[in-house]
Amino acid sequence: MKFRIKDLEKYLNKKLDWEKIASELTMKSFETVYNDGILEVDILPNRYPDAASLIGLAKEVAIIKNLISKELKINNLQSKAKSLNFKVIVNSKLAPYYFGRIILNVENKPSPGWLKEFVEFYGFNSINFLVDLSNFVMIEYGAPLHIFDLDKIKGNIYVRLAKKGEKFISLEGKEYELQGDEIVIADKEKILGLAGIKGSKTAEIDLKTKNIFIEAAVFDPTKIYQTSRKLNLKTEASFRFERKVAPIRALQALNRVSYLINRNLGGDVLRKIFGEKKLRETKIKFNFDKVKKITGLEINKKEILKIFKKLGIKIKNDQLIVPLERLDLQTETDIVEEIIRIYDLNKIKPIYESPLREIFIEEDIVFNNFLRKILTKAGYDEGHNYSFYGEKELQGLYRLNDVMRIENPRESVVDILNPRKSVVEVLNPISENYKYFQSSLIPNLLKSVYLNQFNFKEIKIFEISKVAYKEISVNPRESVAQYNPRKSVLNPRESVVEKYHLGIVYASKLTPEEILKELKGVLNFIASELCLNLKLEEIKNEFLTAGIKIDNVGILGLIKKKILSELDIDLNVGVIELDTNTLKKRSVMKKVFHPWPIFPQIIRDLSFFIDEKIKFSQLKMEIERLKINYLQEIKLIDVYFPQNSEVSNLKSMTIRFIFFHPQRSLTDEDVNLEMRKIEENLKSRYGITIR
Amino acid sequence: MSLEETLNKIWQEAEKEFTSVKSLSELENLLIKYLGRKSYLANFPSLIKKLEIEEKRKIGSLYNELKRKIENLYRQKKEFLLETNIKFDFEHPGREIKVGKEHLISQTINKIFDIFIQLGFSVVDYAQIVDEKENFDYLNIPPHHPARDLWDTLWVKNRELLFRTHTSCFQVPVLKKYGVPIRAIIAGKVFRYEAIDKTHDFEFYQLDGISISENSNLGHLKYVVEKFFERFFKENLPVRFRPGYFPFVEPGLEIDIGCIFCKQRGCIICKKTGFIEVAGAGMVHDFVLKSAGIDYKKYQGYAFGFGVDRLIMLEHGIDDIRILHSSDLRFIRQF
Repeated sequence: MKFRIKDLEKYLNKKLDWEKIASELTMKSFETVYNDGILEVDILPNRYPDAASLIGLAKEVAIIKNLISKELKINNLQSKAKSLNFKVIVNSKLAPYYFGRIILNVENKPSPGWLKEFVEFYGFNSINFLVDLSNFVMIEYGAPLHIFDLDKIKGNIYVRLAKKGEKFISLEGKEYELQGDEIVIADKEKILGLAGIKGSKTAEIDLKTKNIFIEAAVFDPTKIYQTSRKLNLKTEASFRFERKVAPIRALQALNRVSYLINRNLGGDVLRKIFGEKKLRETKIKFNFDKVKKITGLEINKKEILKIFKKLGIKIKNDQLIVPLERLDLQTETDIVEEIIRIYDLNKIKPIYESPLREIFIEEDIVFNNFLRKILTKAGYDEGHNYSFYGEKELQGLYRLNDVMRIENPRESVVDILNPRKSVVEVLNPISENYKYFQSSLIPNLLKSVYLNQFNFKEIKIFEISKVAYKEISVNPRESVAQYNPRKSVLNPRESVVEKYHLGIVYASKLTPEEILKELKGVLNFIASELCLNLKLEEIKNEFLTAGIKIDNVGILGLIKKKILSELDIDLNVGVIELDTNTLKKRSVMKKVFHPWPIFPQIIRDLSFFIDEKIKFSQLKMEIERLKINYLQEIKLIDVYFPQNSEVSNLKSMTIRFIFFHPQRSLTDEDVNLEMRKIEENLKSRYGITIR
Repeated sequence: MSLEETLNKIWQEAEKEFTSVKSLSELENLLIKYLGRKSYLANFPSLIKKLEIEEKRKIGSLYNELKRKIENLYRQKKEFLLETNIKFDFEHPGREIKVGKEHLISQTINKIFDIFIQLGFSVVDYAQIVDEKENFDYLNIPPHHPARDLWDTLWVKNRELLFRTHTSCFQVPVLKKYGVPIRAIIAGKVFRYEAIDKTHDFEFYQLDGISISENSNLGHLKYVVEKFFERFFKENLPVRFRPGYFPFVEPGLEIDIGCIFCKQRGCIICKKTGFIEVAGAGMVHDFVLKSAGIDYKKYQGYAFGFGVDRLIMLEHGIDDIRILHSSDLRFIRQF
């Protein structure tokens, strides 16, 4: 809130160094900047009732500078005029305090220059003397006031809830249809104002106004907040009511404005103050030891009592009585906060506290960091992307995730044909491009390929981040996912699941085969570092040219050219996505030592052409069945599809055979004999041609 | 051929062979060939046994001289071979080492974790999609309260859930899960409905810490905060507390550290104040402890939170948060 120094100084008895005060206020009260006769103060929301006003801020300055703030003239003016037969009927739930006063025979006129200038500086349009004075006093005391033209009110005033469908016409002439949960000020015929937010044209003050009713109320903050948000009507008054208004300030403001009207515009101020009642003091039990307990600082009692005096906190029967406008002071801790900030927060000394219990790091964090190490060792850079994507990704790229949603296939039913049903949608997205929370990391990884392709020929990126989706449970009593399910209130069978995924992307100008070889190598590396054995299964997918499902943990594949061209990506791109939670559960993370053979091994490679449909795993089983002597291991070294047409149905394979004998060195003759057996068998069973 | 001639011939051959030898193992073989147990020269003394004394003396000394000469030849050559004589221009850029880099955000979060672990904090994780209770109600931010406006919330459609607006939402769950006493931190993504510019993003990183025991107080908080920033920036920085307001702490504090750019002399970054605002903190509100079912008459403690992105940007002189949040390899590979 901005204040003019010339206004503030009227409430303090001294000329002051405001540059210095600004920095002192910053350290003890609110962040404050002084600039060219204007003080800009960031008043904390809980201090609005007492401090967001000229009187309030002057008091704050007086406290920290040891000054006395000036009391204002609010002389009780009482006319001889009789009270009218006029009642105010208030629903006290809606308005715990509703003070009012009547002034008769005022002579309203346009505002003088000083007042016009004042209200305009504090953010209002100057309307006329009466209205401007009410705003002037709101700035002085922090309590909103509203003045009604008494002659436009039919009968009594009611503070009640609106009726559904009732119409409210604002001062600007805008019409609002009310729902029935708004607080209104009304007479017996019509709505006079939307309580705490805005007045209505129906009882508007104009230059002809003679008789007035002034309202100084405290409305239910929640109701004001709701109505203001719902109707999108935010005013200075609503802002203050939401942050609470101190009843004492409302009462003081009512008296002050009555005095100012009478002095400037004449009129008879009637004696009766509507809704006047005794204001209840807040009493707080206070133990002086609490100061040390919370701040770790020994402040002697004398010092504390001095601070209480400055703050206007009184002690009566061993209890503290706080100033009526300090609505924020409710508990012992609130009082400690006041003491320490006035004393000096920066006198708090650092104190070492020994550990409270055994220190632990949660599994997910340890595991994710382990994966980061594996992937960076493999030469991949870590990316951090947004967690959201748009319609295009949902439509086109989402399908990839159908394969990913595999963790409890029997217990959950995910509508894979309708991604719209399981996607976590944002109610108020920043833009259409971030409309859905990701359920796969691939779409955003592809975006980073797009971004980097202009600067790099080879892109290797991984990301570890949360994905989320909705799951429908078949059995409503059972939680679908073991990991952090969020049950829906609307549909108890539906829950939102979130978990960490590891996404990997490899993009380069290399052939698709080379891309897949690279990723297969990465997958093997991950598996070996995690001591995992993964079963692979080929899959067909709208998204992948060639892909495999990795043992209910994830997928690996080559992104279709069509999708890449939609994304303007001019490289070949392969991806891996893994569910780290499942990966973690499966991983044993324990490596067992394998001793190496004492006698030398003999290695033989066999290269041949074979029918392209035959798999190495088949051959391996076949050879194992032959019970070849000394054979320790069979490995596939290479496999490729030759480009020339002569051997179009054939592929080339190189298999490595490793022989050894535990008790002696093998001879070439030993091995030649065994190799011949293998070759003959493969020739006769599969018709291989040795290369 | 006379013995003398033979010795001469051996010398000529040896000289030739030792000169042309290229490796240490060849050299050793040569030595064996000429002076080894089975060599001609090893056998030579028996050949001159029968000669006249004078002749014997003459040939004998020639033989000894030859042996010395071959040994010399061997020593010189060995010294030469042990010396590597290469030409190398050390301005050569060296071979490029290809490793992957962890993103600066991950590196920093792990660095932060390491510091806090040493200060007695455990490290926990929590959901990013949470409900209103966790994000607001438990933290003394009731519905329809203007305090909620401090966080522009990104909601899940139908408003049942929301994307956590601050990592503080871990406070009550972590207290419920582990009980007291506890000292724990969390770091991760948070989300806001906020326009994106150089210093704001709708998805960013926060860190939150909490310490609850029978004694944890503002002095302990000060110790932790001072040590943390000192170790993070590897510099002794003054730490300053100011009054602040967060509904879930009482007293509430803003924490400033001495400006790392101007050594508190005042510059553009710190707006000439010499200090930079880096964190919010305070004593955990009784309401929060009550929400977690903890006896707030017996237990108390502090909590703090700060923006991880801002610390990274301060530390490394990054002036645009969007670069930090992109997966631009030109950025990632620098750190």
